[in-house]
This record gives sequence, structure tokens and C-alpha cells, in this order.
Amino acid sequence: MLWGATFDLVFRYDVLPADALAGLKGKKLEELLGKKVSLYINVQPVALTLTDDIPGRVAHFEGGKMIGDPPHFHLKAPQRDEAAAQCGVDVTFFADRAFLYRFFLPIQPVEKLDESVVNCPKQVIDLDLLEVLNSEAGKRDAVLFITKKGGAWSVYYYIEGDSRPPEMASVSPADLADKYEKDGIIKDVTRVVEKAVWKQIDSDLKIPDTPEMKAQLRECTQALMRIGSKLYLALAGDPAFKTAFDKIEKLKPGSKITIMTEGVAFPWELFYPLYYDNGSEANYQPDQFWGKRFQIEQLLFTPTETDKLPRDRTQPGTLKISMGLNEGIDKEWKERPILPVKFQKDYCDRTLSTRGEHMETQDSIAKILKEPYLTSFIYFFCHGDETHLEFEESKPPLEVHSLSPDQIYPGWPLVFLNACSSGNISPLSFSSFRTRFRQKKAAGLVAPTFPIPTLFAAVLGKVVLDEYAARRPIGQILFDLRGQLLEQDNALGLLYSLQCPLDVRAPEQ
Amino acid sequence: MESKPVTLIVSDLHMGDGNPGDDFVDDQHQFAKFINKQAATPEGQAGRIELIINGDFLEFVQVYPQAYQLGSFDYWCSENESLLKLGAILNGHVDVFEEIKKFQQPGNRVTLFAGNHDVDLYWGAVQERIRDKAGDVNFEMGDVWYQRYGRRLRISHGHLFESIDPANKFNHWRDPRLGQPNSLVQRLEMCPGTLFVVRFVNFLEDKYPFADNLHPEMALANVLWREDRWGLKTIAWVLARFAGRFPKAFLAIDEKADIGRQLLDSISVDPLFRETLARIYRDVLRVADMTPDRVRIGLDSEEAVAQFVEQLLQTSSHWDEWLDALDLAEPGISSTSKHGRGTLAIQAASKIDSRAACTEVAKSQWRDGAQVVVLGHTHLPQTIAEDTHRYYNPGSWTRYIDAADIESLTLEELQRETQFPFQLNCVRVEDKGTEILTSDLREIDARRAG
Repeated sequence: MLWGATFDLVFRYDVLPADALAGLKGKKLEELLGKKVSLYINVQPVALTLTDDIPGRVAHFEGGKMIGDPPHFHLKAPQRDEAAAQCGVDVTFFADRAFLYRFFLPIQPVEKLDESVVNCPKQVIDLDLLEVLNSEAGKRDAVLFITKKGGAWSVYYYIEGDSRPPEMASVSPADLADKYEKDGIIKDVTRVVEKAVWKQIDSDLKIPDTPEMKAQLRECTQALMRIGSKLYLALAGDPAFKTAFDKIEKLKPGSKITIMTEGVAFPWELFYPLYYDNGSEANYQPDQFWGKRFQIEQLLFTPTETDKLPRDRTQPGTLKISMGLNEGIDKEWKERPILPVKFQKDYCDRTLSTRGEHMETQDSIAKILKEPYLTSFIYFFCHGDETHLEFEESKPPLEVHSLSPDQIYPGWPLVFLNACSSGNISPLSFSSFRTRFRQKKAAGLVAPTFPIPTLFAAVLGKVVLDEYAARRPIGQILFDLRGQLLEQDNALGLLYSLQCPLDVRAPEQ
Repeated sequence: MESKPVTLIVSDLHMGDGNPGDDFVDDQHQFAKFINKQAATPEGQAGRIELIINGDFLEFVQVYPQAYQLGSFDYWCSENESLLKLGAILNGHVDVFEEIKKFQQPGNRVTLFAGNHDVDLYWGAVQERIRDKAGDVNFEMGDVWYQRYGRRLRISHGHLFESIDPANKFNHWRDPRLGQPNSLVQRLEMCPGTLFVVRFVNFLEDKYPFADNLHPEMALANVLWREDRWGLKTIAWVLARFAGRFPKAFLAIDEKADIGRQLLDSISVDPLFRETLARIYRDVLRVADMTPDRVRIGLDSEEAVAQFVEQLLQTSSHWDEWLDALDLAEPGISSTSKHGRGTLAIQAASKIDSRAACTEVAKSQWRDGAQVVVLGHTHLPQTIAEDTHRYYNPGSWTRYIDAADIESLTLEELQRETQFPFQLNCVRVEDKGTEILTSDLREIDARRAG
């Protein structure tokens, strides 16, 4: 199209026309015949504009045909003097609200239309339509999109057949970061995680059953409930978020929610929908934490060329768990029964055995970041913040920049950054690591959204690895753990977020 | 008092007992030589000089601490206790008092004003004893400002100005000798700054000799707080709690650093911590029958825990034997920087710009007709000239640290006292019979930083 022109991007399901920008690989599937299927298409323009601000539309299939009007996205090309380095749309397909396939479709405006444009090579969309048909297992109940538009957020959703056009939120990323600081959220969470009771955790994540311990645990849950309530109300006070939250609140317990963002990671699991400010016993309902009710995955609009998930979200190859550990952490625990790092090393040596490896030197760990390292699970237990990971006190910490984006991971590994941030926590926590790991084709991240007590982190890390090695999906593992811990009045599980598809699981072998 | 044509003003000598820990810079007998040299000048030989020591000449607060056992928040030494302390000082610097005596023989005058570290000079017996050793010394007490040359020269130690230092204010400066309830013995008024030194700084000095040279005194809490060790932060918390009792004296003290809550939580749920504290009670504080259960009962409030830590500070200078125990209460979270774990708001108190405050005080005196204003107390040498007006602070005769450097000072540096600079100055003021006094700041000896 021409510079500055308005045009429609149309997703059709028929014979590929000569002027198509892209085409699906493969042929129509017989299985599609006789079935009703919906495909949600989300379009994020890059240097283009959606003239009606509607980025999500649904294509319906029945009897092997697309029924109704094909999805049209109304776009406008930039003026020539607004030309950007990249121009096009980032397209994501969801089947049953489960992320299916993402690709970038370049659309380059020209001075005048001619034959060469029509005959330019078409992009091949490598979408396995069987995935669309077999998506029941990966079904999600809600997809919430939060994208940045200027300094504000644009919010829209697709929840059980109901989708809603974007609304601009009045609360901005800057407002929320400010709230973290001014409302004392980080300080309050820090007070919780600094509690002495967390040093009493045993190797099964249990805490001795004494009145003093129980009292401290209850105090912690109450404090986190208060924080969750603050965070929830901060967003729910905004009409754009409120509409989506009202929908989410109606979902059944155990529902699976996808939150698509461009980088911001919220502690959604900690969200608490009731007003709670210590003392109101009627509103003390730990079951109402979102992390107790829902499996939540936070996915990125990743700046990669294409993003295709393995079938059934099962990692390829054989299971290998690669642990990078900061041994220095054990120094402060020398008089206590469990040394956090040794505990994890012993687990690796005794239980994972040949399926696991642990590294303690920064140089060896750096290889995992720099090379196309073959592994299924990258597990780091170290000091860290949103841009640094420290494994050896004597060496400068590893930075986000240490992750070479062109050295792609062949094993679609899950990355667990079991590092504790040190006061630099913000809604952007670990976002830079997350983005870079995704660029290297990692499945995504499990990471704390706030500081975490060391011993708890160590034992929880071991439990997660153990369950993962048993081939349970990561989202289910974390969901179950949060629930089990909350039953013991331990709310710390809510401080971990899942930033990858929640049904990712270990290789079959 | 009749003015001499030449007035020399020194301040803050903090002369102690001559033993290690005495902050008075006297390795080359600088002060005795200075007096001797002044006596040899033509003015000195003609008896035309007055030497004024503008407060904190004698270090009563830190010297011979055993002499003061009362531990009161309200009362400092009795006359007898001050005499015991004075004895230690007189014996430690015999040469100085001899030179003072000789200096006065041709008619020169030596005048002492009291400062916050030598309020003991108010006692008659103390003055008498000094005169025994140092000749007919002139004592001027009870005023905020002392004046010479028809009020053109005004001198004050400076501790009484809240803008300069709110921690060392006296409510009874005119005469701080106070009667006590139910006692016939008079005692001197205690000020918060002195109390802080007596309760904490004196016990730190063995291990950290420079700890007593920090101005304001509470800067010490920040030094401890910045250390990457929980036990030291705990001591900082105890200091801050103490300061919290004197909100006007130590300004914006934030004692809510959560240390106390953390310690109480740990005592409540951590058996290892209780066992270790019980051992410390037995080994360090000699409480033979202490058990973990009794620790839980005894240390049941922040006040009790703070008292326990203060007891440890006062009992054992072998800090490592009990700091390790306190370290066990450190929150078990991993972080890249423990310095990031908040900062004590007591920084606000140590951030008073005392030089600027002194300048303002001096300017108010200029506006009231003074030509030359001299202050002390801050230990920071300073000269300000505006038209015919002059303000001087000769600094101290101890080693000092510049206020700007205190924020980066470490505990380890406090161990190396001799590495800090000193600058021994005097202010010389002369009345040449003209309308304007002649004045300047003169360096007697110095060792620069680095």
C-alpha cells in the first residue's frame, strides 16, 4: 500500500490470492469438516495504526469453511516522513484463548503500487491446524491484553466468548511504579519476607506447629492480603481494568488466565479482590487470592520473528536440568540445619543424578547465558535484581547483556530465576531478563515478583524441580503449591509469577 | 574585664590523661610549645597578651570514666568526681600547665570558658586546683557570649546554639550546678550529647579510637548502620533508640528501622537464636543460670533487647564474641546489596551544615555591632570575611573528619585514628588603637588528609 493510505488486513480461508502477504503452509484438514472452531486473531501494529482501535477479532469455522465475514483489521500506513525501521503487524493466534502461534508480518508502504509489489515473496505461516483442533487441553478461560500506548495502558480482553475493544486506562505504568514506592508496597512485602519464621522452614516446606510460629504466619498472610488488596484496588479503580476484573471474578476456581503484555510483570497471584486492612475478619479469605483461584500465565509480545509452541507444550529431547548456584549464600546459614545451596546441590546429585547438573562458578554459568546451551530447565539460585545475577562475590555480576540473543536455545528451556531482588522491585521486575531469554527461544520464566526468604526459596525450588521432573505442567505445579502452602497459612507462594505458557512440561524421556 | 592589646583564642583541645585514647594532639608537645613561643614574643614578654581557651579545653567527659558511676539521664559529675577526672588530666599534661603558669608571669592573662565537655570548670574546687597547677587562671562562666574590646570581639563556644548542635544544649548554663532530690550533693547538669558519649562512645573507643571525634556524635550510628553486618546494625538501632528519647537533641531520628521487631520475632520463633543468646548471657554477662526459656521471658520487648545490647557494649570490647550471636537474627533474604535495606533517617541529624549554621550565628552578631566573632565546638576550621567583619572558628586540637566525608566513613577507618588530619590553629586579634580590630587565623601545626 501507499504511504499514508488506509487499508484492511484481511484473514481469509480460501484459495491463496496473488496479492496475499502470507499464506498458511499445508492443506485443509479433513478433521476441520463437521467441527465448529474459533480462532482469535490479535494484531499489534508496528509503525502502523489501527484506525478503529480494534486489535482482536474472531474467525469462526464450521464444516470446513470460514463462516461469516473474514476478520478485517482496519489499518493506516504511516506518512513517508514518519517511516520507521520496521513496519508491519505482530499477529497472534489463540485457539480456545490459548496462545497458539505468533509471527511478524512486514508491511512496507511504497510510493506507487506496481507488479513487483504484487509478486513479492509471500510469508509462510507455519501453523499446524491440528493444534487448533486439539487445543482443548490448552484451553484458557480468559486472555487479558495490556499494551502500552504512549505513557498509558490500553486494556482489552477475550473472556469466554466475550471480547471487548481496548480502553485506555487512566492508571499508567508510572502511577503504579509510584504506588509501589509511595504506598510502601515493597517495604511492606520486605517486612513479611524478613520475618524470622521463614528460617524455620523444613525440607518439606513445613513450619513447626507452635503458637508463636502460627502467629507470625498469620501476620504475614494478613500483611500480604493487605498488599494484594491495595494492588487490586489500584487497578480495579480504573474503569478499563474494572470491566475485565469483573469478568475474571466470575470465572470458576481453577480457571486458566493468560495475560499478554509488552514487558510489564504484575504480581497477579497476589491480587486480592476484597478490601482488607488488617482486622476485618469477615474479609480475611485467603481462598480469594487470585493465585489460589487461578492459574495465571503472563506472556510477552516477544520481539522475535515467529513464536511457535511445541505440540502439547512438551519440551523436545530428554530432560536436563541445569542449576547455577551461588555457594556464598550458605555462609550465613552455617549454624543452621539446612544450608540452602547445599540442600539443592544434594537434591541434584542424589535425585536428579544424570538428569541434572549444577554449576557454582560464574564462568561456567555464563556459558548457559551466552551459548546455545542444550537443556530443558535453567535454574538459578543467586542474588540478583532486575538487571544483574550474582553467583560469585568476587566477580562482577552477570548482566542482561550477557545473554546473547542470537545463540538460540535448542531445547525450549524453562528458566527459573530463583533470585531475590534487593529493593529494585518494580512492576518491571526481571522484565529485561524475561525479554532476552525469550529472544533466545526459552519457553519463559518463573521468577519472584518481590524479595523472597532464602531458605523458603531453596526448598520451594527443589520441590518445583522435583515435580517438573515428574512431568507435571509448570502452571499446575505452582498452582497446587500455592494452594498447599496457603492451607498452612504460608502465603509466600503468591510471590512467584509464571511468565511462560502454564502447560509447559518436561520432555517425554 | 580589661582587654589586652592582643588576644589569642584557641578552642576544643579536649585534653585528656595523656594515655592512648586521649584525642589531644600532643605528640610534639605542640600546645606547650605554642604557649612558650607566645610568651617569647615582644607582646608576650610585655604581658600584653590574653590567651582565651574557648571551651572544651579539658576532656572531662571521656577521661577516667570510672569516676562517674551514676548513669543518670539528668545529672553529670559531682564536684568530687570532677576533681578525680581533673587529677588524671593534670597528671597527663604537666608541661602544658607549667607553660600556662610561666606565660602569665610577665602579666599575660589566661582565660578559660567552659564548653560542653568541661562544664566541670564551674566547680570552685576544680578552678582552685587548676590555679594550683597553672597559676592565676581567669575563669569566665555562665554566659553564652563573652566580649572584649568594647564588644567588638565576641566569643562563644557554640554548643548552646540549637542551629549548630541541638544535642549539647544546657537548660541551666548560667549555673549548671544542680541540687538533686533527696541528696545534699550537688551535681552538674547532664546534656544529651554527654549522656550519649558516656553511655556509648566511651565503650567504643577502645576498639574504634576515632569514634569520639565525630560531630555530631550521632553520626556514629550511621557509620554502624552502613556496615554490612546485622550485629552492627543492631548497635546502630540501639543508638538510634537512645536518640529517639531526645527528639529535639538529635533531630529527625528514625528508630523504626525494624531491627527491634526482627530481634523480637527471632527470639520468639528461633530456638537457635535463643540458645545462642543464653550462651552470651552466661559467657559475656556472667549470668550463670541463663537458659533459652529465660531469654524468651526476659527479652520480651524492644526496650529489654536494647538494654541487653547496651549491656554487651559496656561489658565486652571483644565484639566478635557477641556480634555473631546478633547476626543470627539477620533476615534470611538474599540480596545483591544489604546496604539497600533502607537507611536510618538519623542521617538527617548528622547532616546539619554546622559551618553554615555558625556563619549565620556570626552574622547576627555582626548585625549587633560585633567586628570579630569567634566560635568553636564544630572542630571545623573556618574563616569568613565580609567588609570589616570577620568570623573565625579555629577548629580543634584533635584530629577531625570533614563533615562531607562522614557519610562515607567506615567502621574500619574509625580504628585508624592517626590517619585522620589535624590542623592546630589559633585566632589572633589585635587592637592597634584604630576603629577596626586586626585579626587572622594562624596555623600552628597541621597534618593534611591522605
